[in-house]
Amino acid sequence: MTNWEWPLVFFTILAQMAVGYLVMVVPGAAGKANPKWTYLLPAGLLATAMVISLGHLGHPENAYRALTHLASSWLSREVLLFSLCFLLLLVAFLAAKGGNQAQERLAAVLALASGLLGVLASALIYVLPARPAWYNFHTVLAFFLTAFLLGPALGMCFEQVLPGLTPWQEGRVAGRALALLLLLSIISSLSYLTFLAAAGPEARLTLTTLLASPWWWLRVLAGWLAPLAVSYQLRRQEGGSLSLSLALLVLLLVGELIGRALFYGTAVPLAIG
Amino acid sequence: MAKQLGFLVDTEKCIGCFSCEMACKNEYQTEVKPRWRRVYQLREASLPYPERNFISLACHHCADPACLKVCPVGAYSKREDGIVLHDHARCIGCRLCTMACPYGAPQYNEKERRVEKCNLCYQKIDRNEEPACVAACPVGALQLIRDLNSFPEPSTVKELPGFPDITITRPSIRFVPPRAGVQMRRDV
Ligand code: SF4
Ligand code: SF4
Repeated sequence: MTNWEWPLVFFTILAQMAVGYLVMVVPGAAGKANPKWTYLLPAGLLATAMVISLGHLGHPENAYRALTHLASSWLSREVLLFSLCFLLLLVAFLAAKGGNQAQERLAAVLALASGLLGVLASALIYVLPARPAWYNFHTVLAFFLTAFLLGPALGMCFEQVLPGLTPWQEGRVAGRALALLLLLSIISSLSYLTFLAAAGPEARLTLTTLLASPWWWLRVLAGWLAPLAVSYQLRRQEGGSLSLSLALLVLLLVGELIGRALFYGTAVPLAIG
Repeated sequence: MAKQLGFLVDTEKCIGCFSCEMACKNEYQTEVKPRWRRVYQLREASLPYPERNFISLACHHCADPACLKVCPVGAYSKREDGIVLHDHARCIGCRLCTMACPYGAPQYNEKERRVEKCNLCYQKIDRNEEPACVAACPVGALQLIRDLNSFPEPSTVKELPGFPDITITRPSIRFVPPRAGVQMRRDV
């Protein structure tokens, strides 16, 4: 375990949660939405994530320069897309306040699109041949799964407090989708482990480090097994439950944070010799 | 094809004396930790010879540099002669290039909170001088190749065992590979 990269861990997880939440709220937003919780909450999450990401830089005062190499750098593109998403959410909020539904709808949909592309750009930063553990489609899949797990989990909590906020929650669709996504997440992790076993000495080193780490097993418990049990309980509740939804969110968040820290901390680079 | 400067490392000549590494440190007065040039011992298990061999490596000024592609601030540029320059003042210390380079060439300077690497003594090249490391090698094991496109040496190879995949960035380096040492046996 070399580098946990905590600012990047929190930045990527929070930004992905914000985008996942947008997937839940944007489809039914225009007109009937509560603009504060629909737009300002994800905008705030995204802004917090971006401020945290500055902690990773040696010279955060010059962070604006990160926008200057869009031609080939996925990091530049990520910064641009997340900044756009943030600004569009503010536009959607103001339009909703002013009662301009068409403008609100357009801004919200564009915010969602740039957020999703931002998650893609985020993942592609790490698809580097020099890091065999990252150089595969699991990186992209893992980043999107984080978004699609945490977003609905957050939406579910808010749905308990502000019914009607997330249209997909109706008929317990989100609960079922979440359980399916959890299964997908488990399967993709198993597929990731088998990929590592077959992808050369550096990837095998990542695999042995992962399996020997108590953090990995905590991630299995907190991020997969416990949430599966809670989502099963949730399915049995007719009108949902705030405490169960909250427990699900916290468990998933802890699991994803540990998973991301392991992602950064266990990627063994190609080495000379 | 554009010109491409490069290094030639002769493993038969190199004695692992670290003069090149020291000359680089001396020239640029770098901190202890970032080592723009490094002397590595080849792992004996990688080669079928009972010998110790060394290679001296720095940035390879690759034909297809990964560092340049990923850097979000455009701190890297490739000169017409193929040198990959790093603009220290422009770097914001995101360390992405250190993750993308397969050879560990760009290194983070904790004190300055920026990355740095070998710029192939471009000032000296412009004055038609040799890079400090090449000039310092006492046995001529490290040489400058003035243009890789017209470098004929058939006795050289592009990679050695334990050298990361050259198809990723196409590094501008050639090696004279180690040959099996002559074994002296006394007949009884
Ligand atoms: S060796 Fe690394 S730092 Fe040097 S040019 Fe190639 S990719 Fe860039
Ligand atoms: S550390 Fe500096 S040179 Fe390297 S990618 Fe980041 S900004 Fe560019």
